[in-house]
Amino acid sequence: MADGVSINCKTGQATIAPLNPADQADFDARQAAAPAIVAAQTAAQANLTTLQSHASSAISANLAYLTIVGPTAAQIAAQVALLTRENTAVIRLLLAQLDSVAGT
Amino acid sequence: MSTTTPNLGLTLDTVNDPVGATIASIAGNFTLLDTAFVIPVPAFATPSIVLGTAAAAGAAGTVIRSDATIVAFDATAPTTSAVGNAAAAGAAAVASRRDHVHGREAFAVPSGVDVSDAGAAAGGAATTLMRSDSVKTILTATPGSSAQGDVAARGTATSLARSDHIHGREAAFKIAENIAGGTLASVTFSAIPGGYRNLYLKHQVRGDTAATSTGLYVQFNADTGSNYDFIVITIQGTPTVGQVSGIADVRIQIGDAAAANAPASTFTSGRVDIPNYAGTTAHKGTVAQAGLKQSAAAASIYVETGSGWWRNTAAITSIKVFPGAGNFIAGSSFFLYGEP
Repeated sequence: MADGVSINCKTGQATIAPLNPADQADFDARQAAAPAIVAAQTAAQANLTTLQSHASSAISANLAYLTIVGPTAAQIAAQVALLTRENTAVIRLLLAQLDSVAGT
Repeated sequence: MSTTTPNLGLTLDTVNDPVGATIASIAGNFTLLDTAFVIPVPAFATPSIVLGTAAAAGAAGTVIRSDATIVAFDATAPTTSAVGNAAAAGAAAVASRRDHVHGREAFAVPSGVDVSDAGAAAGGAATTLMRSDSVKTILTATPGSSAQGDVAARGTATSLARSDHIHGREAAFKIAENIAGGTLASVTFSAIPGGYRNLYLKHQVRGDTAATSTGLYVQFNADTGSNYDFIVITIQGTPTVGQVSGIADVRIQIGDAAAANAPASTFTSGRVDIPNYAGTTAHKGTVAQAGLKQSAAAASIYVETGSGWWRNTAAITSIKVFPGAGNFIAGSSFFLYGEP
């Protein structure tokens, strides 16, 4: 059983007591959901780091492509694919869709 | 010795009758036979009767006429009496006229009331009186301003406060506080008085759940229904902007609390404002700010700001604060203020 405190603002009296059944049930539910939330947050943070890393790499890749005079068809295709991945990453960052880095 | 007049057959007492009087004439059926006969009669004199406290026969050999005047009064005005005079028989040898007037002490403006600690009841020394409708003045002064934590004191002022006096107060008043002495699943401020314009809650919290942070939430008036909307914008140090929101949620998120996996002794500090919390027209709104450090890295330091709404127009009388998971650890603190 978890305890809560109630402070009566008129008297200043603080009373610590076990949570009522409804609050205890809510507490237990939140506690049970916490690992999944933490896992999701951890994954999101990792994905964010990945996307930011990709974005940093994309700058140098784009600069390198722009130095190519008369790129080959293969180089153009590769750059289109790279731009698509970069664009997806930007969209994920923009929308805070950090549950995955798919398409980046 | 008695003398018998041979012609009238009268007997005179020459001892007790006045001596020296002369019979000038005798009217009636008597015939004066011897004009040389002399009856001794006492002489008249100016009265010298003195008013005294005991009757006395006196010793004068003279008599007073019926229209003589005796000295009963004089021209001296009666004395002026004063408050506190003692009764006295007096010593004057003259009487008072029935319309005589004594002088009296004068009326004077009452002096003020001594309310100093050193003041004590005293008889005073004034020789003047107060009228029944006189007015004593009592000094009044503007009360000072009180502040939270002031200790009751008798004071030293020598002036009094009126019954409708008003103390100045600090701009914001701390309504209540709680510093957790142990783990707490929630902190509820109840019976919040409605006499302020705005409320704000300051907090410094850390949770015990196994994470670097956990959400931080509020509910009002024990409403656990889906009656809340909120958005929290987070800005990380990289910088990256994120957000979390809830529509028809069961609570308002006001930020995130550092939790068990955050650096040791790291708490989240924040504040929630609730304008016009006692109004009954608008849904209640919150404006929140918080700072979160999940780890000692720029990417894990957050500035959070959020807004929330409670779909209810009732005055807020209680606020419950709780973490997304687990408990607040000991030392977490909550301070509720009211703004006039």
